[in-house]
Amino acid sequence: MIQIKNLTKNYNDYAAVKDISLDIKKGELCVMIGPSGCGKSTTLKVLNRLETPTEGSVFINGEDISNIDPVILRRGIGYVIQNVGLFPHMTASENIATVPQLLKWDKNKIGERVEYLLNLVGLEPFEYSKKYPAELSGGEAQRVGVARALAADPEVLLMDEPFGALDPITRSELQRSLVKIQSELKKTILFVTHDIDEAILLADMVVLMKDGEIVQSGSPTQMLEFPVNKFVRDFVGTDRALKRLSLTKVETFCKPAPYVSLNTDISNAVEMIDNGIYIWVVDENEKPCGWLDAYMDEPTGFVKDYCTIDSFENFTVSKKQSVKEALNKMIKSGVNQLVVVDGDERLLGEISIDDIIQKS
Amino acid sequence: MIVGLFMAPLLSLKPNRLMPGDPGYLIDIAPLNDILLVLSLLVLFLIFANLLSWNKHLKLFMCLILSAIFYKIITISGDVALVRSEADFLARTAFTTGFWLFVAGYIVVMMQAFATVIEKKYDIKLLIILLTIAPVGLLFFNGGVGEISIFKELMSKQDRFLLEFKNHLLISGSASFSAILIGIPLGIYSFRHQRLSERIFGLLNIVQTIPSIALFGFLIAPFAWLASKSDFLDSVGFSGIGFAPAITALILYGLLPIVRNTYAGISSIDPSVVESAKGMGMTSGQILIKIQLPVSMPLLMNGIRVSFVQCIGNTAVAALVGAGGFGLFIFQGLGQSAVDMVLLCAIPTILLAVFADTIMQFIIKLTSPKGMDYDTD
Ligand SMILES: Nc1ncnc2c1ncn2[C@@H]1O[C@H](COP(=O)(O)OP(=O)(O)O)[C@@H](O)[C@H]1O
Ligand SMILES: [Mg+2]
Repeated sequence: MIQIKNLTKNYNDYAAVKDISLDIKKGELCVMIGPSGCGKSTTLKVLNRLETPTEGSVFINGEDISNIDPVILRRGIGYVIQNVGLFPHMTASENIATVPQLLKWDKNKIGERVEYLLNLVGLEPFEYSKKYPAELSGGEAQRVGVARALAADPEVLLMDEPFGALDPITRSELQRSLVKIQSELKKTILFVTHDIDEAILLADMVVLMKDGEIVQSGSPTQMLEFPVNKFVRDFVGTDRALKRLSLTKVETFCKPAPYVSLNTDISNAVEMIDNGIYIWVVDENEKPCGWLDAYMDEPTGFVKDYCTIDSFENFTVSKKQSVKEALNKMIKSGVNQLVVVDGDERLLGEISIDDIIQKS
Repeated sequence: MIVGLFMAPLLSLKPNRLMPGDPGYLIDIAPLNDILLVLSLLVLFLIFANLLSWNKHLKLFMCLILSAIFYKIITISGDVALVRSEADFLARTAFTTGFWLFVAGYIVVMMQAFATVIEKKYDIKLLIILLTIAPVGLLFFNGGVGEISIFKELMSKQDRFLLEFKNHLLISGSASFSAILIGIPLGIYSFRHQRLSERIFGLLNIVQTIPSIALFGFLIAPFAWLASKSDFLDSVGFSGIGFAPAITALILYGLLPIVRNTYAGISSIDPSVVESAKGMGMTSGQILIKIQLPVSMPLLMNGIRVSFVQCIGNTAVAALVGAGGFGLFIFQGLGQSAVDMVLLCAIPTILLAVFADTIMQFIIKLTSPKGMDYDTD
């Protein structure tokens, strides 16, 4: 979809970008990361011809962009920047409608599109469409910024540290929104950041840059598992083992676990515990609701009379959550294992801290 | 104001136009009824003025009382003048210290009332302005003051007065209009060519520091020379004195505020706004028309306001090079020591400037884009 071939950009004598080549596939979210001043923004701006390459060329959909009128090119590429740059004298709706208006879309079509986009980025159209940028919080403004970039349904989206100026809570909200939007729209996105956690969370492919050159590129897991040199190792941080766990799903480490139902006879349950020290307990829907300890004095009756069931959500993780989240929960709850559930909240198995340590 | 009314002579009773006259105090010249009326209105005003909270209705009422006093005083003076001129047709009755003191106080109080009105209550503001000028307006209709010197001056020169009024407006208007036409593009140009902008502003600043009389003078020689060299220029009435040098000087003066504010308005826009506009595929023309000019509109219009008001004042000086306008009377009056004649034109010039200023402020509010807090200064 996007091919950058031997791109070099000099400012006077200073080489901001040195002989970069990069392929971004259709529907892929590529995150470009690196210390400040390494040439990320410059590379991005070459793609919509806000900067002219000194050498090399860029192809979008196989077409050399230097043959496309820059104004036409830019109308087909969404552009989101850190300071948002909303037009202060226009409402949120008018801001979003900018490119469709430049493209002379039909008025009704623009109206529908704006409403759809406001919903998409999580802003209630009725409440937000008539608001001016000065009346929006930083997070809301950037949501409008993203909607504006998506307005004419461009195939390519360029985002230059779009969440860099937001507080951590708002930032992670917008990151989650972007993940959701991307899973729906499957745009080809080049996303610039200097935040490694953001890169790992969002990226299909990470490109790590330094001094105008690409140091390493690949999937986030590759980057964490096989850093090519000390610079990459340092950049991803000393906690890269933990970061990798944030990319791994709980289901990878999930193993089958014995369980009994609430209405099982207690003596059968004791047999099932066998030489273990506990057994999970599920309700009639196979939803985990507690556990049973092995050591009981001459128990009689049913499982439900003996099982521990208080605040059981602290002992449950979904198979789609990250192992890092599971670990976090174990530490918080002071246990060595959690019960794993599937999408319908039915018991799937368990995950234990020993397995995580041994297998990763 | 009260001092003006009672302690100082209200009118000057002159035997003829140019001779000094005897002082005429309000107490001496007015009939008892009128004195009592004015007094009671004043007392009423003072009582209200000392009430603690002024709401808008009370404020309007106070303005009304003052306005009535003002009207009464002018009519009293008109009557006195009428009686005196019937007795001796050479006699002149002119306003003097007391009257002007009163007017000064009157304007101060009215301005105070105007200034304390809440920002957006345009209707109240307008009412106060109307009340302020109503007494003068009323008199023009019932004409009871024709025998007071300043109005006699007006009557005897009514046609010239109107003509110079038109001239004044024409000169100021066309100079300001040209200054806008040149100033805005020049402001945009200086923004786009930062290096040249320093020189442009340097030049305009120098022009601004030349006293206006000197600038008008400077232009006479080159314009006369130009006219003598070109038959065409000569034939369209272009010469060293008159309209052409006056307009040119006024335009030169009017440029700085407009260029400066256009430049400042466009520069004050967050660069990321322009970057995103460009990144979305707006041409530089579209960025200018749809983004830069609308966003800088409040500052830009404020520049036009300053330029225009300043131009109205400078036009009075332009009479020196024979351009016409109120300045003509002012300088004539000064030459003849005819104070009434000077005032007759100085006051309308000031009023015109104040009026233009108010109108422009109103236009600024109207043209300021919504969604932006329009701090203009
Ligand atoms: N317009 C410019 N003129 C001169 N130097 C520039 C310009 N834009 C960027 N640079 C330089 O190029 C280098 C890369 O900049 P940039 O791509 O913005 O870095 P970042 O990775 O932080 O986005 C920096 O050293 C910067 O100083
Ligand atoms: Mg950058």
